[in-house]
Amino acid sequence: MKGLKLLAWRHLSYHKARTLLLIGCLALTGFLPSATTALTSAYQVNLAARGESTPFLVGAQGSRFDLTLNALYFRRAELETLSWGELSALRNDNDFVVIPLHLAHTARGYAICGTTPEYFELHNLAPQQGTPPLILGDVLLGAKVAAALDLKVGDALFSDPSELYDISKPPALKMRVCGLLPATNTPDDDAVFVSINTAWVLDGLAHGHDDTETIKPKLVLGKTDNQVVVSQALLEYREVTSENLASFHSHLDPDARPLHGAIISPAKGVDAAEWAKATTLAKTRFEQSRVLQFVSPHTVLSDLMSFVFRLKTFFDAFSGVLFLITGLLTALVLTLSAKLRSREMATLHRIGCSRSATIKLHLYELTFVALASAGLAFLGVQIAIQLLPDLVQTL
Amino acid sequence: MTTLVRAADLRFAYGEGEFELFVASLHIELGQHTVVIGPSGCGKTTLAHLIAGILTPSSGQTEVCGVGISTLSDSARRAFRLDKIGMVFQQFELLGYLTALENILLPFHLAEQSPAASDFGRAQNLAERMGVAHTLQRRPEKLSQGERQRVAICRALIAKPQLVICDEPTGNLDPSAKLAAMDLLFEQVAKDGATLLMVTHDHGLLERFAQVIDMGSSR
Repeated sequence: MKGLKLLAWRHLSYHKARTLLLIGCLALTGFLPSATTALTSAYQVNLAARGESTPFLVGAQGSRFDLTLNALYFRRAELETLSWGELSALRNDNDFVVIPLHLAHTARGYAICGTTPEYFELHNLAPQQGTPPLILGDVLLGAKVAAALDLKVGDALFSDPSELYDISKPPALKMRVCGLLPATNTPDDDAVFVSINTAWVLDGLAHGHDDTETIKPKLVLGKTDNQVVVSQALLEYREVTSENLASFHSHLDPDARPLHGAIISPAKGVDAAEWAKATTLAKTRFEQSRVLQFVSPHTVLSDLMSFVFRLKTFFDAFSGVLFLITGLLTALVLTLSAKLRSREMATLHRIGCSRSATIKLHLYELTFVALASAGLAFLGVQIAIQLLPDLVQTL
Repeated sequence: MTTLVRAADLRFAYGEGEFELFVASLHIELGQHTVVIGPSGCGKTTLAHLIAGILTPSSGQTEVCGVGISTLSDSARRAFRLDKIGMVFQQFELLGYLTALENILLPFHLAEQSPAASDFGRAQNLAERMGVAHTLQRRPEKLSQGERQRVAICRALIAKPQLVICDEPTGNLDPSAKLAAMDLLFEQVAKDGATLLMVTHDHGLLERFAQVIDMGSSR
C-alpha cells in the first residue's frame, strides 16, 4: 500500500475502536436484510420441497394449516381424528396409496409417527442401519433423535406415558430400536417412527397380556363360550417381546381405529392424467364431506409463505429505516471526524496536498470501511446460510 | 548571484483595515539564509505564507524559483509547494497516526508516489544526522518535543526542496534542544544547497543568518 491509501489505512488502523464500531454498524445494517432474504428463501425452498414430496393429505375437518404442519412437520397441534374405516373408499381405489399417520404420542419428547412402510418409500427413506419398523414395538429413529439420545440398533426406548397418575391410561411402552435413518435435513430427522399397530398399542386400543386360560382363576370375572371378562388387576404387557408378540390383540373394530391424517400418493403405474382425474374426483367428493378434508400441502404451504412474505415486507421496511438511520449516523460521524481533523487538513494543505488528494483520502477511508462492512455482512450471510438447514428445521 | 525569491509591491490585507501588510521589495538569493523578525502580529508568518503560496496577495507579485507563484491557480500553487518548498512549523504538525518514518516520507504520499529505495535511504540518512534514527518506527506521541521538531525538519528536507521555510521552529523547544535542532537544520540545508527562510522572534539566532528582515522596522 502506498500514497493516500496508506494514509487512509493508517488513520483507520490508529482509530481502531471507532473504525470497528462503524464497520460493525454498517455490516449489521447490510447483514439483517440479506440474511432475512436468504432465510426466507431457504425456508420457502424447504417448505416447497416438503410440500411437493407429499401429494395430498386427508384429515378430519379443521384447520388445514394444523393438518399440514402436523402431518409434514410433526407439530403437535390438537387434531381431530378420523377413523381408518373412513378412508376405505380411497384405500379401495387402485389409483391411490393411502399412508396412515398417527401422531398422538412422544418418546422422550420426540414425536412418534405411526405409519406404514409406504411412508418410507414415498420419502425415499432407507435405514442406514437396521430395518424399518415392521414388527410391533419396533422403532426407527430419525438421525437427530438417535444422536441426541445416543441410541443404536437393539437399544430400548420408552414412550412417554400420556397420564402419569391415571393408571387406567396406557402405561409407557418399552420399544426396541430396530433401525436408524440417515440425516436428511427434513423433519424426519426429529421423528420416531413406529408401525401403525404400535401407535394403536400406545393409544391403549391394542394390548397384550397372559392367556386367559392360564391366568389365576380369581382374575377371571366371567366367562362365556366366546368371551372372557377379566379383572382390571390383570397387567398388560409393557414391552413387546418375541415371546408375547402373538398375545397382542385389539378388541376394537379395525375400521374404528383412529388416525390423525393420511398421505395420499399415486399408486405404481398411475400416469399423470389418471392421477389428475382421480384426485379431482377425490377432491370433489371430500369438498362435500362435513367430516373430512382433502388438502394439497403445496397449496397450503404456499399460502403460509404468502403470510411469511407479508411479514418480510414489514421487516424490509424496518430494515430500510434502520439503513437510513445508520446512513445518517455515519454521515454525522464523518462530519464530526472531518471537523476534528481540520488541523490535520490545514497542515496537509500547507505542505502542498491538493484538494483532490484530500477528497481522495476521505474517499479511500470510506471505501475501506464500506468494503470491510460489506465483507463482514457477506461473511455473516454465508455463515447464516451454512446454519440454515438447522435453523429452518428449528423454525 | 541568482535570486530565488523576489517580491515587489506586495500587499495583503484582511478585514476592514484590521490587518494590512505591504512589502515594497524583497530579494532572497539562492542558498542564502534569511530570517524574518518582528513583534507578534506584525505579519512575519503572513509574509512566509505569501512566499509559500499558502496565501495570495491582494496585489503585487511573488516569484519563487522563477515562477510567479501569486499568479498560479490554487492547485498549481499546492503542487509547486509540494515540489519546491519544505515547511517546518512551530507546532511540528506531525500526523499522529503515522510513524516518524511515514511522517518524514509524507510529501511522497501526498504526491501519490511510492517512495523509492533511495528516498527511504535519504530518510534514514536524514534521521541519523538529526539524531532521530532510533525513533523512526515510533508514533509522534512517543517522541520528545525536540525529537518531534527534528522529525519535522527531516520531513521538510526529504524531497530536496529549493526553499525551506521555517515558521517559529524553535518556539516550543527548550534552549538546548533549540540549539541542537538549529545546528542540524543549518548543516543539512547547507549540505543540500537549499535556501532557508526562517520566521522567528528569537534574536539570539540572528547572527547565523546572512540577511535579516525586520518587519518591525520595514512595515
